[in-house]
Amino acid sequence: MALVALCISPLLMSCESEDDAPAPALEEKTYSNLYAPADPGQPGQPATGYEPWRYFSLRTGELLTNADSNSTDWDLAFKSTTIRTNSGISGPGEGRALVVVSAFEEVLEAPADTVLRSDVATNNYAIPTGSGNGWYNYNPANMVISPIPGRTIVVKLGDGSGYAKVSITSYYQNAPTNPTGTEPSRYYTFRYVVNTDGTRRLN
Amino acid sequence: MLWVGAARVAAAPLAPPDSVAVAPPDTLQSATEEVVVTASRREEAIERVPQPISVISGAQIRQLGAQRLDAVLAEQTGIVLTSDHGTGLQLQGIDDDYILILIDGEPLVGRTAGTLDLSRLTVENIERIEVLKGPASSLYGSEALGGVINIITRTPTAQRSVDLRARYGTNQTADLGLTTGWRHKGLGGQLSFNRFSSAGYDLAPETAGATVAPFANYTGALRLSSTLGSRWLAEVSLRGYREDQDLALADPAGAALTGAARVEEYNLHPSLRYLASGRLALRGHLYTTRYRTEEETRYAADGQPFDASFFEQGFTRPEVQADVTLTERHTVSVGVGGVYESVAATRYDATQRQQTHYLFAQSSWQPTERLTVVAGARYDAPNVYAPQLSPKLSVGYRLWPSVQVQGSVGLGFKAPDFRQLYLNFTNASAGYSVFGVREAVRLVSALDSAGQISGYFVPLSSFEETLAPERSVAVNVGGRYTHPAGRLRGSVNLFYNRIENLIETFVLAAKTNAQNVFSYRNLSEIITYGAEVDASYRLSATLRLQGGYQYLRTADLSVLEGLEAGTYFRRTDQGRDVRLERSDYFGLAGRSTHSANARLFYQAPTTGWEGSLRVLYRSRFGLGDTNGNAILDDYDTFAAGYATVNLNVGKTLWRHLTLQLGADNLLGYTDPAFLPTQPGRLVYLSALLRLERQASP
Repeated sequence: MALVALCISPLLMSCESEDDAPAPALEEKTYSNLYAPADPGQPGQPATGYEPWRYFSLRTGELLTNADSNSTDWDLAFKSTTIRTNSGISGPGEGRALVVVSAFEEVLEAPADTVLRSDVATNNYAIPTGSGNGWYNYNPANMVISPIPGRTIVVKLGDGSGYAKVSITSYYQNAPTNPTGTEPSRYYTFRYVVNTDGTRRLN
Repeated sequence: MLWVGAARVAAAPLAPPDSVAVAPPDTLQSATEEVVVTASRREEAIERVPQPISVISGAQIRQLGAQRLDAVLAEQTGIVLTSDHGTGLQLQGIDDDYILILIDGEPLVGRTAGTLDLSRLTVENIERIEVLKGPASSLYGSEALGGVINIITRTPTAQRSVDLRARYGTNQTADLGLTTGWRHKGLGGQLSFNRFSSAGYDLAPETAGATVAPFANYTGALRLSSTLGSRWLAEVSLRGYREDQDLALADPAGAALTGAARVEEYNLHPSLRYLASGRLALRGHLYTTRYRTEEETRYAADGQPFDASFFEQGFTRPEVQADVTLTERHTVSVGVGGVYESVAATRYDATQRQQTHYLFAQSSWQPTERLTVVAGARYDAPNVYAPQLSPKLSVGYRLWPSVQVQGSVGLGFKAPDFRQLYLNFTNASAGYSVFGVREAVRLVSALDSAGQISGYFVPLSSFEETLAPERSVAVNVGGRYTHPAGRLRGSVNLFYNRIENLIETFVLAAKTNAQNVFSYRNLSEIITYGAEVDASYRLSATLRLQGGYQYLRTADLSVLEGLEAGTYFRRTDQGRDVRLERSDYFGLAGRSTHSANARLFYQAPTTGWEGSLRVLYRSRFGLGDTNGNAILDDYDTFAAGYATVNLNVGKTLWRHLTLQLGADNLLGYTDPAFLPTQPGRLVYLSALLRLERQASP
């Protein structure tokens, strides 16, 4: 399968930096309720309209407008369960990403750019789409989308100015602890850490 | 024409005509000589079967107060009932669609989502039920991967008998039955009729539609047999079933719908046996069955149609078998046959057919008085998947007259079913599609041409348009103890099943409506293993205590690999992700590690009083992942372990009339979240009138 692009974390930890003075810890931030509706369309029918992607800058922690879509200012773009990076077919930037199999806290630095992936095609995004392939699992029994624990998205910023790691914590409005599938969905809550000091450090 | 002759006849002789095939008396043999047919497809003493097999007698079924098959099987050690589009069962942790359900040795068809609804079957005319655990594909082919449940219907033992049965209980559940048997010289017959109805119940009144909608069903069965001279036995069985159910539902927008559902099933089974000599018995069967469901719903407001669907399955199996007694201690059975199946349904584009021709042979050999060796194999040559060879070897050794140890190794398989090959289903309200592998490329390409596909997860060029059968290898090792006077009987069995090529759904393509197209592929490999202990102890002349326990562990092997590689995590309440260990993995959904039963039966023929108290327990189980990592681990939400208590008392009056008052699930245990079909306490009152006129000697 073309979509499996996971990397096991112990490989990353072997190359920790050995600076004499430990660098100050990076600030962890949380963004709540980023609403990313799907394209409209009747179930079972082709989409009849278009819903814009929701462009987000990790560096500023702000949602951008659709007018910024062709810039390198944004790092991730959201629509329904799909997340794009500012790269390849999705944007003009130098962005890249990789879904790393590791706890958020254990991702200490970004893998090499050659390991990070870009958006190659609609079925070959840097962040793979589909249940179990990327950041979420879909439970057909109760139709709940759950972020997969132990999946951390390492992102190269759209303008190439640094790296970030992102952990999605919820897909439902106000991040209920145990969603039942009936809550309003497509509301992303995620925590993230950004580093623009020129190193690959993410801790 | 062989079978025409069979149809005009009637009545079973007292001694089965192939009784020559039963192993000769043995000095080491214990006193009880229960006869079973499932392990060899011919009558043999249960003591001689070196496999885990058990028998539920008709007397016990009656004492349980049961009216449908599911209630009987629920109380057997090692059987756990499941609820998914009907009541199914697990044997050794193996799901319903891998267990063959037979009536008099011939398979029932008509499954919904893999489940053959056990509540479809009345216990009205059941003589006994044989439960064979472990793979039996060496005799029965596809589906007999986890085991076989063989329902043996009654043959007349008195010259004339009439049973009248009536039972009424909670939810206006009414069960009425009539069974009559007769015999005149070589002719015998058994006719039974059953009507079962209920007003249903609703455990979730806040949602539209009842948990069980009101229904009424009818079962009729006729079995005629006749001896023709001393060497021929002709038999014909006919069975029909029909259920009508009233539906009250709602469409996705909440508008009220009304409708009706119907299930119909017919089985016809003529057979002919010929005792060529003391050493050779021949038999021929021509079995055919048809199963059909129909469902129609309309808007309650204006009567406009909402949905209509049907499903129809046909199954025909001619078979010839020869039993050759080579020596007193060596019998060989050889059989050849064909299976012709068809399915037509709303969700299939055309009537789909498949066929299998097969050959099987089994040798039962006693090299010494103590040792039994049973070796057999079956070769299936189907037209839609690769040929399958399913061998099995079983060995039993009698350590002492009362103790036998035994072991068996066998291969089992399950053919891809029609749904996995040919389904064409799109959910009208949600918008996703599920296509069988034979149809997927064509149907997805059509969607793509219509602009409804946004991308592929598997390129169509590399999509596999065939499925391999699911295959298993299983080992059973155990022993049986029988107290010479029958005071104590017990059995132990350790089991291990490894099933590969499990067929699962996967996402083939994404649709432009943000939904997916699913199809099927051979994917995972699972194991189930554990131990079972079962015992029956006669406390006194009137009291018998039975009990059983099963320990069960299950695992998906790819999950074990993932745990080894460290790819599974859980998220703590503080939001930290913690890697899961092997010990955190619970196993497959719907499986309880512990299940047990304890049953006390009282019967005093002198006073006519009888009664039973049964306690059934299963430990916690999970329905599926609840914490996002796609596996069932100790941090998921589980259904709590629970026990149900069943109690009844009965009294026989004037020798012929038995009244019974009872309650199933006496303590009213329910768990709406995890056991949405568990109805709570069911109280019933029943009456059985049994009239017999013995045959003159």
